[in-house]
Amino acid sequence: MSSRKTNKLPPYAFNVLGLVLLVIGWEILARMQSGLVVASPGETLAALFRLFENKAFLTVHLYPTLKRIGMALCFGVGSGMILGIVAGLVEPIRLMLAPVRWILMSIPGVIIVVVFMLWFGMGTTMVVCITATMVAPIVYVNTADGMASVDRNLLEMAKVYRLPLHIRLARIYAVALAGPLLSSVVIATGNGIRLVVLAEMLGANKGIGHALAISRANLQTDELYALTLLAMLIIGGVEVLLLRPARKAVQRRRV
Amino acid sequence: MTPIIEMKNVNKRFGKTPVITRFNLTVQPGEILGMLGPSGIGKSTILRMIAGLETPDSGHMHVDSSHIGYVFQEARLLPWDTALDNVILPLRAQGMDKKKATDRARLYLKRMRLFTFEKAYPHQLSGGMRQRVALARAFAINPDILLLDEPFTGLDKNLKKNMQHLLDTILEASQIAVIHVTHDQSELLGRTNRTIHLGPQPQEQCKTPYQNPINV
Repeated sequence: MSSRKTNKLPPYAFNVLGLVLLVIGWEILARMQSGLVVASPGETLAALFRLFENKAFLTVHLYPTLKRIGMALCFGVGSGMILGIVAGLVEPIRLMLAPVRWILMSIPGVIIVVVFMLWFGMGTTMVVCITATMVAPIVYVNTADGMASVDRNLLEMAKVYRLPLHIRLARIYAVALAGPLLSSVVIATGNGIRLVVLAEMLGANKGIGHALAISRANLQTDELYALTLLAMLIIGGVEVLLLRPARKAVQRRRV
Repeated sequence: MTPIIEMKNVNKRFGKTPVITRFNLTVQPGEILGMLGPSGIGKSTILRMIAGLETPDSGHMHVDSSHIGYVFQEARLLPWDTALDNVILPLRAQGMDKKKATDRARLYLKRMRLFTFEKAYPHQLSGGMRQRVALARAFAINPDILLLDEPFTGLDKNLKKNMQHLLDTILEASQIAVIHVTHDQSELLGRTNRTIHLGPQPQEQCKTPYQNPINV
């Protein structure tokens, strides 16, 4: 009987319930610990509002981070997708790229950060290159696998009716790829934003990551938590505003 | 008359298994050829070679065609496109402008009695309707060769009869060379100029057990 009752609640009610429990747990933890270790939810929100009111923060830290995220995702997702499509169409290229994919996916992120800091110095180029390099293999693997799993019967039909490559890509591959590609972009976006912040923290003088490093050095715990929350909000914002509508559009297209 | 399809001593094997051995075939423009034989004898492989989906291991093969229509055992429609869009697609690939392609696709869907279903997606159509869309797609490109690979398999008796009638009606007024592959002899009776039977031995291939006088 109880399961029938819970089934009547909308799914988001459970999301809200989970969030409320998390905040309660956080508040309890904050009261048990020193404010220097754990900032309370109230303090964190207040710090977040202060950050949004601070124009210098928006222009010096938030804007560069958003720009880097956008650039890194464009390069990472774009190159991963293009290479995945080419690898899906040309088997030797897929085999040639396998070692590179394996190296990039198995090498710890922090090593790439350190090496790229040496190569590119501090700043936007380094942050964007690190993130794009780490994001591209995720998208590449999903795209190449998606290409390999496209319905062979439809490809044969396309060959018989002499559909040119651009039509095959647009009408067969793209629709079949959209699902796995979007899933990989969701993962890549989350990882990409985390990597941008990490790279900024280690090797940039602007951005949310750099602001985090300053907050940690100054023991501004509430601001540190607020910046973490901000990074999470960016990931959530991209998911809700861009990826979820895209996924719905793909589902509609695939019927 | 120059044959539109010519195969001489064609061999094809998959791995170590020979599927087609020393196969000979000549099809003239406008000829309707039936191809009979048990499952696994290589009937579909012959069609696939003609369509360019397989290449012969050896032998001579010549297909003098600019447009080949192929109706597979399953409809092979794009599941995310409507019936109309599925028929339009190869026309657009031929470079036909959108309006002309749409008009032509509608004409053939109408001939296949699917005019009211042009906006339906494949999953909203029955098996017979999907095959009719595939037939409309094959005819719409104005093929000089039409390959039918057991297109009525899995359809009930009445539907099969209706589809055969539709096919006959369109073919009556055309000069399309047709190869109709089936393992059901009744599908070919009175519909082909010539029927060949594929047997397990090379010497049994390309026998002509009977000639069907038909009006084409």
